[in-house]
Order: sequence, then C-alpha cells, then structure tokens
Amino acid sequence: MGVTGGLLWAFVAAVTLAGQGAAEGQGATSMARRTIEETLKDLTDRLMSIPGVEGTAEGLCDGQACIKVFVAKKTPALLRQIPAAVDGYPVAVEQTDEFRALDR
Amino acid sequence: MLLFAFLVVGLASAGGPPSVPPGLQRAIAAQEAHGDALLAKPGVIGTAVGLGADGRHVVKIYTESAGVPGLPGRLDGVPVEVEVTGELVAQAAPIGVSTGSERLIRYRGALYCTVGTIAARVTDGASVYALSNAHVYALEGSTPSGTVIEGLNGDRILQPGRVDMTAQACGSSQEINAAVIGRLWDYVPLVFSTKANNTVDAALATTSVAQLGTATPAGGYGIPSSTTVLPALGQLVQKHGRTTGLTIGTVTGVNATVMIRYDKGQTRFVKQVVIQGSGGPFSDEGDSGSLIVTRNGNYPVALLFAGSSSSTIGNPIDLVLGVWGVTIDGAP
Repeated sequence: MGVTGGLLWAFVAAVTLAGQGAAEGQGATSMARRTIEETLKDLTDRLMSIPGVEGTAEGLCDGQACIKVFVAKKTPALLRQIPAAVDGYPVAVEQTDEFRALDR
Repeated sequence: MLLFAFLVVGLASAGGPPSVPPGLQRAIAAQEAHGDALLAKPGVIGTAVGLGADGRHVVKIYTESAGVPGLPGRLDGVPVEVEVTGELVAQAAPIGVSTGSERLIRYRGALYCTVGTIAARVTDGASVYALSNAHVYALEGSTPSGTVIEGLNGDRILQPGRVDMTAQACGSSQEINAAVIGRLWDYVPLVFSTKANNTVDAALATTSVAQLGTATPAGGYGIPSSTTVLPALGQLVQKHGRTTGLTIGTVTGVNATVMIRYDKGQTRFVKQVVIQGSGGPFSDEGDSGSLIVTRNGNYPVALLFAGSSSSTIGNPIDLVLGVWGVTIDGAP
C-alpha cells in the first residue's frame, strides 16, 4: 500500500515537472530547480500535520541530497500519505520513535 | 569542612564494628565537640581525626601556615597534631559530566530530581559560565497557568546532579552544599506549541575557573576548540555525556524540524541537527546538555538536548552561543 502511494506521488511529481518543462518549451534538465530548503519548508508544514510524523530534515541518500521524514512508526496508513519524491528530491522515511528531552 | 567530615566517617567505618578502638571514639567525640570553635580561629582551615606517629588516634588541625597561635595541645585528653596544608582549593569539575539544578521538578503531583550534562565552560571575555540545557538547569514543566519553566535565576547549580548523589534519594544537604558550582544565570524559555519555532534549549550558570575546568574526564575527547563549525551532512562527531560517556556518530540530518516530548507536553524545534551513533546509540537519558564536537579537531557543532531510540537531536551551537554572545572557553 505504502509503495503504491509512494509510486503515485512520484508519478504526480514527475508529471508536474514534465508539464512545467513542456509549458516553458524547455527540457526538464534546464529548468530552474527549487532549492531543497524551499521544497523542505513547504513539505514540512504539510507533513507535520499528519499524526505520527515526528520531523523532517535535509539528508543524504546514497550520496544524493534528499528529504528525510521521521515517523514514530512506519504503518501503511502513514506511509500512504508521504510522497516518494518532491521537486526531484527523493523522500526517505525513517522510523525514529518519538523524540524526547534527554534528562533523567 | 565537608571533606573532613567525610574523612571522619571513612575512618570510623574502616575501623568498623564490632571492635571500634576506644581511642577513635574519644578522638571523634573531641573533634566534634571542638571542631567548630577551632575552625572559627583565623588560619585554621580544617580538622579531622587521624593517627599519630605512635599509632594512637589524634585530632588533626589543618592550618594555612605554620605558627597559628592559640591552638591546644590536647582536646578532652586526646592529643592534637597540627599540620600545615596551605589553602585547600576544590578541584575544578570536568565538562561532559553530571550536572543539574538544586530545585526539584514537580510532575504529576510528585517531586523529582533530574540530571543532565555540562556542555562546556563558556566565556563572555570577562566572566565564565557553565553551559547546559534549559531543561537541565531551569527545568521544564508547566503549571495549569501555562508557566513552562520552574527554575529561577539564582538557583544553585550542582555537579554532580542530585540524581547521582548517594547519601539519600536526591542527595543529602551536605552532598548538595558540597556540589555547588554556580548559580543559574539565564535561560531561553521554551515555547510549548506544535507550531512553535524553538531553536535552542539552553541555559547558563555563573561559575568560576576554580569550580569548572575546560576538559572532559580522561577517556573523553579532551578540550573542545573555541572555534565552532556549522553542522554538515556526513560530518563525523563525538560527545562526552553523563550517561553514555564518549560516543561517536555522524550528522545525518540538518535543517530539521522535529517534535520533542518534554515531561509536560510536546513542542516543535526548527533548524536542528540530527545525529546517528556509530555502532550503538549516540545518547541516552542524562546526556542532555552534552557538547557535540567534530571527531577531528574537537570543533563544537551542536548542543545535545533530545533523542529517540535511534537518533539524537542537537541545537546548532552558533545559535546557542549567539543568544548571549559567548564563546566556548576551550583550545585556541
């Protein structure tokens, strides 16, 4: 289910990118790409409103800039709501548990 | 004073029942009866029970210099020995170890003591301060009226923290008095909201170079650099904390937005650094306040304050130091 949802998001993202490129009469490679900071900012506000999403960050995935989404627990219902890629940046979901202050 | 009180206890238990020598009991009684009056004399800095050259128990009087006048030769029949020790200076505490506030935190109707870690000694060029988290030094907790910090500037700050005291739960008054390294100077209040934009969980306590040093204990990373670096993905880092000691990890996330659970609720932090341990957890409960530095060069990167079973979260150190315009008092 999660994989399907992710693929759907990737498809939508790819179509959106392609559509924008075509509308400008240019190839996708020459498009001005949004910075990861801009993409992350928009995505964070959206994702953090989903129960079970604990955080987001810029990260590296196989040496490539990516967006990390931290979740308390990976469940199909939660994964369905998280895109696989946005603005060309891959999205990696990490199960981190809940973050808490570390005093004792 | 306290040091000598412990000495007495140590000797008493070393002698131990069932055969406590009568000389020891008499010496302890004499020291207890006259110790306060002796300490009131100028030049006397301590008293203790010890063994004389002939193996008999004596009351020892420690003095700053030779020739302090008016000292007795015997106390209640117990011989007195005067020893010149010079002024006693408490050893400065290391960084990266147990610390906390004297104040107890109220949580669900009960009072608890808490503990965290001293990040580092910092300086504004004139004074020195101990750096840790606001939730360690100023505590955190909220009342129905919405107050989220229970600490007050001026609260006594301790090393070790009360959780690590052993005479009784949360420490005896003697242990607490002996552990004071400073007083809460200032902290950044936390805003408790799921839409909050907290960036630092930080507090400063006044201290002195005699009370707090600049290096971790042996086996740690040593002295942090006074030059900070920005967190970067893939950066190899280390920290020394009260609970897990020296650990090594990698920066795996920057510019992170994360929800953090405190005793009294969740709140949001932005611009945070995410670290994952190498070969084990990078941090655990009690490591709050640890300074995260680069593995190579000990350049400060972040102030540890939160984590989960898999990850550690830190505030970028430049944001922390920028609150007060201070620098890490470390290696040039």
